[in-house]
Amino acid sequence: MVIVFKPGAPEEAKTRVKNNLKNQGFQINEINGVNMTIFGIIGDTSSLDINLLRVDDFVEKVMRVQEPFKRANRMFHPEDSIIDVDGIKFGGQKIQVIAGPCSVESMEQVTNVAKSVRESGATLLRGGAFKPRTSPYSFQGLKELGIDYLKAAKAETGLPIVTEIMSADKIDRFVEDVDLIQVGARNMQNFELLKELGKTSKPVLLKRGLSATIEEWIMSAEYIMAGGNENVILCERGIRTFEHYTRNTLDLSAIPVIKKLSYLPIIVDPSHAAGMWWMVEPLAKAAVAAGADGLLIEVHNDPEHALSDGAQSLKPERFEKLMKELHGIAKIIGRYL
Amino acid sequence: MESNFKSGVSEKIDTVVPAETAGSFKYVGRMLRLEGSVVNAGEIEIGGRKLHIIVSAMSLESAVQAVDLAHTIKSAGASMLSNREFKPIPYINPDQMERETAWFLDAGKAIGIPFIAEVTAMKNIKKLARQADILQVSGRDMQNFELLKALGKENRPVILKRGSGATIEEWILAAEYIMAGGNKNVVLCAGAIESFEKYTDNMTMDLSAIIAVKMLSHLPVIMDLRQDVEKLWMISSLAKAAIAAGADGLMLEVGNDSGQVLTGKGFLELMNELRTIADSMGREM
Repeated sequence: MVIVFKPGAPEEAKTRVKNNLKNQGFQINEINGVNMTIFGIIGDTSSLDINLLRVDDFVEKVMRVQEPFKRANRMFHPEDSIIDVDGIKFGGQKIQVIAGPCSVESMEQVTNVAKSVRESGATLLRGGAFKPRTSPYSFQGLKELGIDYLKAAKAETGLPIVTEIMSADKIDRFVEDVDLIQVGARNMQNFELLKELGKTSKPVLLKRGLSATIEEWIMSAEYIMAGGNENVILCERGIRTFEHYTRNTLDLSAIPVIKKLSYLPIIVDPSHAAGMWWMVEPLAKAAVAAGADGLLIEVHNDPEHALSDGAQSLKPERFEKLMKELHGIAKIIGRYL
Repeated sequence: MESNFKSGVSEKIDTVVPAETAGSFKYVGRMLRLEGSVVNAGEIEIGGRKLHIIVSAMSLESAVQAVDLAHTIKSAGASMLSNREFKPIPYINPDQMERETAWFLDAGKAIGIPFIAEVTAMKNIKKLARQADILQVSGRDMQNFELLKALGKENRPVILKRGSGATIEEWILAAEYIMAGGNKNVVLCAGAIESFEKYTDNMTMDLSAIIAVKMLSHLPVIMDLRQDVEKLWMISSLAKAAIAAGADGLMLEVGNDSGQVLTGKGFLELMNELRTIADSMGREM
């Protein structure tokens, strides 16, 4: 970390800052120019609050040289991590495709979709049981019953299940029955939930918040990892921009950026990013070409009558066609589906 | 706004009619022309099976260097040269930009590779239209309507870059301005848009725009990846993704030094990688 003092900052002010940092165990490398003084702070600064240092009247600016995250940092872990979700490995050569309906609507629906996506090559089943809907009057999901239906679908198809958790009080049930616990975009900074998930050893699928920067997103992963759970998979699902033709703007740059800053697997959800089914196909291809470790795609047997997000769901036939096309692109970049 | 406060009116709801349905996409609209259009620039066809890689140089110091670059990129499979984007700095020496343009024009002719010139002022249109094979409007001029109208009267193809703060609809309507004037040779160029993401300098490459524009319009769409030129390690991912998303071409920038920027050698490797993706999309490069 670097602290730049204002021109003409008095000695007392510099000594005050210096002593404060020394008391916390940091070493200081001082550079004195004609007008300016710069402190280089040596030590693990990830716990230092940058804003507290900025409060000082004589401090011009404070900059981090290193990223504020440690456990999720590529620097300390050069190899990609491979995360095992009930035997399905994320982060290796194989691109994993999670597919299923937005909401679990009935036992029959989720089982039928599960069978069909498995046929097409999907390796995990998704389905929302607890639904974080923008409006409190929209369908809120089948809740616990939804998890029962997902379990039944898993029993029938063998596909591990992915579903979203909305509060820490349901963790026991999720740990018991769910293979990959999803933290949705809206809960990306629900730190109490993240800390609780950190105490488990269940893999967590952490979606990027709608307005979260890449650094904030990795810091959320850091919360889970700091608790001891290193099984975190990241999921880019589109960010909020001024463009309203698409539901959100899929940030594919996030893939190379995450791969550079972190070693965690990253998958892409083109369905939520686009909001329109006809965009899902090309975006999924683009994500694979950009180096994503997996995809999360909404598939519904009857999108016209879906209880949520029908417009962005693929029909099973379209999903099958997409999977075939993805094989070609995966092969070119040295991976497979 | 005043009308909102008239007695008896509790709320005014703006009825937003999309330009597409309002009938404003007269020439650009996909509905009127289901097949994608192909724009011809000399022997080059943009929007056909072939994907075009357009290259500009970060800095150009001599005519010899321009010829070398033109030769390197052409043998690697690039199909057009372009001058670098005019930067929004009032103190850049205009003579230098003119010199670079002249060197590229000569190099393009010598090596046999078409040249794209950025046009920023109406007074330069005639001259550049005579010299260059394609004219380009930058994102900063995307809503310079007088410039667009003037370009509508030419028949040189125009590459129209999306403004970094422009919606897809505004961008397509800017193309409509050129086409309404009579010039039907328009190529859209997608790029980065303003966002909150600090890591990528508050600019986010909007690849969905390629897909959206292909649905709304019949015009060819290329993608300008030059914004990320300092981040060499990102280019390969984004270039592959843009081709997979259906782009008809890419704009890239090459520097002369090694390190953080794409260089002649790196360019050749990148082209080989991209060719395989293009191939799987049924396109050639």
